Amino acid sequence: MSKDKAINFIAFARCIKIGFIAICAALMAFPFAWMVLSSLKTKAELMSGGWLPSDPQWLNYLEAIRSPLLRNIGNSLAISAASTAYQLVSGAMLAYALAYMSFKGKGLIFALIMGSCMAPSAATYIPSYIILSKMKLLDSYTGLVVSSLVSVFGIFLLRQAFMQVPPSLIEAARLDSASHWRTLWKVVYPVAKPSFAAFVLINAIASYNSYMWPSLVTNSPDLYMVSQGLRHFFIEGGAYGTNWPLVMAGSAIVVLPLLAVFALLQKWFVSGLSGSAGLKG
Amino acid sequence: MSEIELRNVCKEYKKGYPIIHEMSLTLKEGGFSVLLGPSGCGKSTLLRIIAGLDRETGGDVLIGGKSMKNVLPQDREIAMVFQNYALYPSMTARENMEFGLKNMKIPKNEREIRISRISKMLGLEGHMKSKPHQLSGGQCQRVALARAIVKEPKAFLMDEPLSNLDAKLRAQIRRELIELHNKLGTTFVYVTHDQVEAMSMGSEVIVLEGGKARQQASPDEVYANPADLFVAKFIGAPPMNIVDVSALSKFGVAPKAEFIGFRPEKAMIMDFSATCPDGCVFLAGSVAARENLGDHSLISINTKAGMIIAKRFGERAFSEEKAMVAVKREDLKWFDEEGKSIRT
Repeated sequence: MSKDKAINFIAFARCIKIGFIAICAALMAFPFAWMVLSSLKTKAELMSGGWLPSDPQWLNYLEAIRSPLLRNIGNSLAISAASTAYQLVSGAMLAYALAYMSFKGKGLIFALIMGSCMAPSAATYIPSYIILSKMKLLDSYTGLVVSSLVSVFGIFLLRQAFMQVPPSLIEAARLDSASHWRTLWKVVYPVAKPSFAAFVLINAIASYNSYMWPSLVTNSPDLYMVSQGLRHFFIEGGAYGTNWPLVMAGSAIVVLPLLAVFALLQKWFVSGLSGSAGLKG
Repeated sequence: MSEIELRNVCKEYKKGYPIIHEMSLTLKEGGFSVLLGPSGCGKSTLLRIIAGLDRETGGDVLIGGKSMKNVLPQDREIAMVFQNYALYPSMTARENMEFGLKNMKIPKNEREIRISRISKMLGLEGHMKSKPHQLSGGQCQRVALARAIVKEPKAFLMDEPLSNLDAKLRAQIRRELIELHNKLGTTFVYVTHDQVEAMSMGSEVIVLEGGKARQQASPDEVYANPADLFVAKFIGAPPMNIVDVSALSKFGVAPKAEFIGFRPEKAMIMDFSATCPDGCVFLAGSVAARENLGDHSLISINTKAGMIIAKRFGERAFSEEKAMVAVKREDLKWFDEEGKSIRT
């Protein structure tokens, strides 16, 4: 192949690659676009089809905001933040012990932690519910936070990241009289930051999106999280009365905090998941 | 008191496969002791045992006369310099030095004094605000040294600290380390596989092989009177020539001797027809290779006792095809059948 042809081929392959990625991106973005467009239509307009709203109904948003949705978002944000913060600290401590300390039964503990992933979450609902009820924490913020204090996936993610940190760094900190706590936050954390970011993102999103468990353990509308709040829109008007534009406007508002977090952390998110832990040579 | 004593130290990772066999050593206070050996000889493990990073499976380590059996690494009053420097990547050079001092609860003004003194001593003043990734290999090495020195430990443990540097820098830091040792007067324990480092820096060299200490002596002594064949062949570039005793039996040999060794620079090369001077033993052979190394050249001669390498300084190049190797009797070293040195 001549040089020119080779360059042409590379350019062609690049076009195909970009085209493919563009199509994938469009597919991913379509539901969001549809949601935003629909939220600006009237109910009749939405049902009759068509792309663009003829007369954008901004009031839909006002109405969505006037509903308890904002309170639901607040609940979700607070509960996600509290449980993610706790998951982060407990996960980092556990991962530190699993990665750097040697003690009897370490393998067993790790196997047990990973094994608990195997249990389907539906199987844990009943025992967890009974425990929460015995602790008298049903239908409370504390109950919602307490039931997600530990993230098994997070422990695994951080442990893998910690294993990438050169052991001599931990030994140097040890010889420098640093406590385990200080070693974790002053030496390990800065090196494994991308994995911590991925941790926060994944767990915060999971917690923000959770629906099944919160609706099992909460009753009062004051404690509703976003998914429960959105559901409220659906059932408000009965089976045929669902106000779709309002549902769409609510959904668009609900998605905003997640988009913001993702935009902030996405750079670290990718490198954290790909396991490089931000370490170079 | 900061003498380091090892009493019958053993280490095995797997039952029945010892890395270190009952080793007893005394590393002098204020000395520059170099643990020298090929990879896998247990030298780094030994250093880590002294540091407390690895636990010995038997025996005891004493620092300053005190048993370290139940003493944690951070309480042993030692500082370690790692092969890959192990600088904290998120901290500046200054923070790297200060981290240990803060953990040791040393007051701020004392920290300031120590850090400014040591950074001046190592020429780091201009780099105190740089992070490790902004520093060159040599600068990282100096920060790692500074981090160890500011702690004012009883002993410095160094695990091949120069092996990541290029040759030129290595020679420079080698000189700086000798100077540093003279200035500080603290016990240095230095692990390396590089005999040049061992010979040039050590006040004593401990040659290790297969988890055993083969010889502990000054560099001169190790070079001049190797304790056994392993040391003889490990030290010196090129190593000592070893020939079977039968090749030279007509000259009369020491009792029980099985092998004879002599350093390449003790081998004199002569024309094949020349008469040998008195008091010499000689071997004849053909020249197999000539290597010119500037101030000296190496000549390999194929004799009936095997390949002999001779070092020739300056002078004219040796161009003959056949040659005679002569060695003065007093330059011969004798070894018994187990390879142990026989003193005559």
